Amino acid sequence: MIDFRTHPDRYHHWTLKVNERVAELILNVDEHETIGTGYQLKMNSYDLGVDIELADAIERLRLTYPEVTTVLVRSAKDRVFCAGANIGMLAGATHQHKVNFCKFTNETRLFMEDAPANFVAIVEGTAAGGGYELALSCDIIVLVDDGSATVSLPEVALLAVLPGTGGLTRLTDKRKIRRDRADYFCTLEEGIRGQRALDWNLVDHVIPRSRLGSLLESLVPEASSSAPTPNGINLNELNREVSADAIEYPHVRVKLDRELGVARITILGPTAVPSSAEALHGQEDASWLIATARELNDLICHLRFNEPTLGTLELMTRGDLATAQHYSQSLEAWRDHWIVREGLDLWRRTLARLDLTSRSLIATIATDSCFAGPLAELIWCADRSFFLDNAMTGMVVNPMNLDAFPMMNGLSRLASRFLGEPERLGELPAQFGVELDAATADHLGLVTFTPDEFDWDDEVRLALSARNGFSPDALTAMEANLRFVGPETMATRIFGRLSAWQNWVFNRPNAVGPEGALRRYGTGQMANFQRERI
Amino acid sequence: MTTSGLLRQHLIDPEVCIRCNTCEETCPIGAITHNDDNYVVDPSICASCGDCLGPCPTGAIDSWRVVSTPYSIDNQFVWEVLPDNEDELLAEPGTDDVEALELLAVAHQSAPRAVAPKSASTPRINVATRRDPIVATVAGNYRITAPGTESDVHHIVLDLGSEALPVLEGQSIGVLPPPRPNAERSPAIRLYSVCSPRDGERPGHNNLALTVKRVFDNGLGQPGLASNYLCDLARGDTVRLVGPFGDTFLMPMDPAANLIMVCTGTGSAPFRAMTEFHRRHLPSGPGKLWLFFGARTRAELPYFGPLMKLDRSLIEIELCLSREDGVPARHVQDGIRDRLEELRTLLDQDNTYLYLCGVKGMERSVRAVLNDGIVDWEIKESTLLVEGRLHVETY
Amino acid sequence: MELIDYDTQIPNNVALASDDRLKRALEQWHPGYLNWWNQMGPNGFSESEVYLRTATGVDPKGWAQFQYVKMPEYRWGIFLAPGDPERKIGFGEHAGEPVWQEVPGEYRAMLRRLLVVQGDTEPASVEQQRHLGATAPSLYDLRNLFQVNVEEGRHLWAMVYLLQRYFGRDGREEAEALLTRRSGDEDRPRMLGAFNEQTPDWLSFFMFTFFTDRDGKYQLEALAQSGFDPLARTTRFMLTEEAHHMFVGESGIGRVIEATTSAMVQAKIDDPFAVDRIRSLGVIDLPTLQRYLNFHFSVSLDLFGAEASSNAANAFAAGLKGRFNEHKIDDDHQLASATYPVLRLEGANIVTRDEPALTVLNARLRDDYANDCANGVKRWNRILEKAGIDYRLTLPHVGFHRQVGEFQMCPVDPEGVVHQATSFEDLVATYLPTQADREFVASLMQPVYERGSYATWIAAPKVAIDNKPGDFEFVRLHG
Repeated sequence: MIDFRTHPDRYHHWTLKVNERVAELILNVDEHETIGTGYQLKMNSYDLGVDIELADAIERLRLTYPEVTTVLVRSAKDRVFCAGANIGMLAGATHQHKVNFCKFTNETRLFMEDAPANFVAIVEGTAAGGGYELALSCDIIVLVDDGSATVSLPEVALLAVLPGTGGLTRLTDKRKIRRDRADYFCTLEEGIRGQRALDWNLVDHVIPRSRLGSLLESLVPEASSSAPTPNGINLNELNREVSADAIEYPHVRVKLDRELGVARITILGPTAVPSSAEALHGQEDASWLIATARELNDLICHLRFNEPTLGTLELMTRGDLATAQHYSQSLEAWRDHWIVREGLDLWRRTLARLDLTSRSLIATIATDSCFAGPLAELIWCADRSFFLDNAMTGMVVNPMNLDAFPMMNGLSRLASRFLGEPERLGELPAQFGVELDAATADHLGLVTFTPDEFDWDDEVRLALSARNGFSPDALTAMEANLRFVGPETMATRIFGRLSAWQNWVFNRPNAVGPEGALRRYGTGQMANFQRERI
Repeated sequence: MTTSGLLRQHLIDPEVCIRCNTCEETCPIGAITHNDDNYVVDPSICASCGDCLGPCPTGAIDSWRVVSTPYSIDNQFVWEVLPDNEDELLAEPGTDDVEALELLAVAHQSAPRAVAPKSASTPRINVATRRDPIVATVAGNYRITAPGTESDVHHIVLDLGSEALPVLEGQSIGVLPPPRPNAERSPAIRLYSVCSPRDGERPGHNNLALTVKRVFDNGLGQPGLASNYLCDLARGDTVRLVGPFGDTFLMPMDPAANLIMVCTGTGSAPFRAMTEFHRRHLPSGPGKLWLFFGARTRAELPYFGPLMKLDRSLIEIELCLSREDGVPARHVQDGIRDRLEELRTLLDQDNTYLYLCGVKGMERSVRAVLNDGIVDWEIKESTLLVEGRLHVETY
Repeated sequence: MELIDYDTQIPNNVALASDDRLKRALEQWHPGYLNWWNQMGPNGFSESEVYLRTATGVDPKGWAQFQYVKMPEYRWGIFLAPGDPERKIGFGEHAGEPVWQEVPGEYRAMLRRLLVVQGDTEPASVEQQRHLGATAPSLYDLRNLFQVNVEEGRHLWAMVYLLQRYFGRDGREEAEALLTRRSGDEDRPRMLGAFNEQTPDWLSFFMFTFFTDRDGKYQLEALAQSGFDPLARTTRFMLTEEAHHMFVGESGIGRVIEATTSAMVQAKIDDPFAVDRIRSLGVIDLPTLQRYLNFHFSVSLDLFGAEASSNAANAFAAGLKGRFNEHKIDDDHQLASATYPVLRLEGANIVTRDEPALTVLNARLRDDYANDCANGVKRWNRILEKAGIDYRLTLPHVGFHRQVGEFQMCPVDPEGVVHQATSFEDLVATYLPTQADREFVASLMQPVYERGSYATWIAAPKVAIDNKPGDFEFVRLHG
């Protein structure tokens, strides 16, 4: 079982060093410490285990070390920054693992960009493939030019796959590199170094090692005297119990219905509301805001990798709606406080991860539901929702639902939902804070179906079992298309275009067939391609 | 290189060799092989072409032993040091003298596979051995370069008394300089080309002549031992001779043969002998004698006067002077280049013989011109060698 | 800028005079090269006349021309060993096909990397050795040093020729970059570790030429098998020069041993560990030699890279880089199912494991190399044996003091025993030259420039180069 819980004290591959406002993330991959078997992580290449630590470090930088303004990403290995995803791992992994691995690493890269601190990649030596993509995810790339340091995306030339961790997209969308140059660069096995890398905007600085120190000093902004330095909170290890058909966190309970292929997820609402933002801050990682998001985030990752056959997630909440709403209202009021801002952002990222999860999502709103504030987003994350029509209320819409949790297309879930009926959005402010029943929610277009008590069981069961009868592949593809409507952003291009093509390539014999480049890499045998264009 | 059943065997010194494989790589016919310990030369394959000598970084390759039965490669594989020379072999009259062989091997280095012209007279070898040298008397010792020039070349006539020392044109004899007082070993022999023909400097007088250049600096900042000894000899002094040596650099006994002779300095000695033989015995033969002779100035050219007096119907002389006032500098290779067309035509005839004698630098330059000017020179060269029509003696 | 008559100044057999594109590239590169030589070549001695061997042709007669030359005027030539129009690729997936005369597009990057890595080592050693002239133990050794230096310079030319002739603009850029990296430089170091180490004294120099230049021999020999014919022919010719460098190393250490043993015999010292007494004779004690040997052998092993290498496998499959003496190996030259025994560390044990031969080509080349080294050590030991000294030099285990590959940073001692309780640093310190060793060796490094004289710690050579006696004036120091 792959465990996503870790701590800097237990990292095998990264070192997180914090010195006041400057943090260093130092990559020194332990080649023997692998998630799978049959490969070694040479040259600072990575597998999921390395990225789990990176993702953990990025979350901790935000919550435990909010004072950090600059993060230096560097390598402890001589003459190599990072060689990217390990090829032996990719060649040996199942398709399911590869796709989810890429998804997770892509999320991590996006979360790096999402973080308020400035990330500076210090490339000393080779940054190849995923290694350069790691640098591309930083705000600034410094190439320490020793005459042989290069950046490269050799996937096409070497492995017959794509630079799938956003590399292609960031070249054109983030760094705005001309597509003809990008085309050339992405077919160069050995990459580009020195002045040309700078001229083409592949990097931001090219300097000799002896001047690195002074450059870095200039890149770290002066301390701002006006903003008080926030105190971070510790993130303790999540408590969780995993049994054969249940997973229990303090705030999240899951029942695994293997027969129907459903994970029934119940999120417990808050039971009390802290008196102030400071009081919430004082609860550290035990506050409902932070704890629930972390637990949900961990659950999603766990289900993706360890429970691939549970094709549907049923999303439920349980708790006192009034308390949940009171909590949400308070959060609205305290949004200027950094811990609230970070807490809501953590929810935003967790919900975004849910959007990207290739499982059917069904939200059910029934007795004791408390879909208020962040929890309400789950309804619109879902591909379909059911609200029991029994005159009970179960959900509340708040202003934060319009602006605190934008999806990766840049729109809120409600705006995405009402892309064709923008007037519906206008009706919502009048309902802010109001506890809604099924009929009203249905009227406002906020839910899909509202069966009454007589029909409820059948309807929900039918929906779930029908889902279980369809092709999982077709469902994944259909859901991914329907969830992301409207405008394209870099992120949607990465997940919708780059990843989709990559996943296609990952299934093709030219990459993974017995004579494919990925399979043959390192054996010394040359790939034998099918020349047909598809 | 065999005479009287003895073989000069090419070996590799296992104490000096670093097993770099260069020789094995270089050998064109796969005569060199190795085991875990040694690199060895297979005597049944080696043709003594010398291709391996230059590339060897250590000098280990340049080892030779005169043997009656060659050492097998299995013998050689287990050596930690080279065996000593078989001393008893050296004494026999009529067999090769090892030291002389070594010296000639160096002189013949770039044409080691040369064979004697088919029509050449059979040479006698080492008639006078070091154990039993001939004591000759100096009949005359003349400086033949103009006084005041840097080059001090002597023509030395030696009277052999009643001793027999049959020498063919192109052969060398060895001179044994007197031992130095208190020296452990007697000095090494020195070889000089005889510049008189087989019937002597003066027919009927049982003598021979040498051309000797005085060496002022032998590369160690000292004057050359043997050359100074010889140049300083006075009439009536005696000198110990061994030899003769050399069984390939010989002239064809064919009046129709064309002889192309290329030399610098004292390299002219064998050509003087050959020309003199022709003058005396084959004056009206149809063959052409053609001499390319290089020197810095007329005054430094050995035998300049006598040479100029030769009848032009006997020999054509191409003088190449590199430092003569008022004349554009010309080296031997320039002379060759100017006459390349005729040379090529001549070399295409089966009875044309080419001889090079003098300093190695001259040989290189001449080879370069031939290589550039004659299509497939390398192929031509091996043909000439096999047919006994190319001879090189350089130092 | 002075115009250079390239056809006469650069001895070559690549039709340089008629290749305008190449001529232009070389014209642009040449001033930078001379500039590099003047900055990074031997320190001083630019006016001295050195009795050097210059290659003027590739036939056995043409490439060993000895004459006095001032080093900056050395004629660095471009030579390919004679070609064989019938030559076929000898291994890999293209085995049996005619060799390539131009770079195959799909292997361009791989080939260029091979050339750049090889090319980078050539000037590096010149840089490492640039101060040694000041402490030469004799004119003969001084000459040998300079011969090695100019020939490493020529090897750089050889690689630059290939880059410029066959790799277009990228090749020209790489050729420039070869001149900008500097051994041991913080900002622009040479590419391989051993080439950034110092060569502080002549003992190190001899060890370097014996051990590290021998890596060059094995790499070049493997490249001389290449299906890319110009590379094969270039490296084949380089090998003949490389041999001289190893001669300098092997005979150099041999002469050091001779000086030590004869001093010990003369002073009637039997005990090789009577270090102080031996050192007081002005010679280097054998245990110190052993520690230098341990260092140079182990860092040279690192140059072969990790045991398992996909780059090496790819280069083999592509027909670009073969095994040592590939043409003499009797197998299918494909290695599709062959295995090769490789040393692996399993817990505290070093075990032998059969692995797919194609993936562990580096290990094989390293093993061939180590065998060659062992034979050289055996010959050194003969000198000790003859002198009746009870001491033998040995090669340390391949796992000792390694920074690369299976045994990287593992506390393996020279006998091959894994010491789990000791740290890597503590363990290796016991067997590598100590600060005191280095200081003692440094104290012996006094120049001997008199003709025919040799420093006390090194014997005169048995045979000098070009049949010259040991007291020949190999270097005319002041022009």
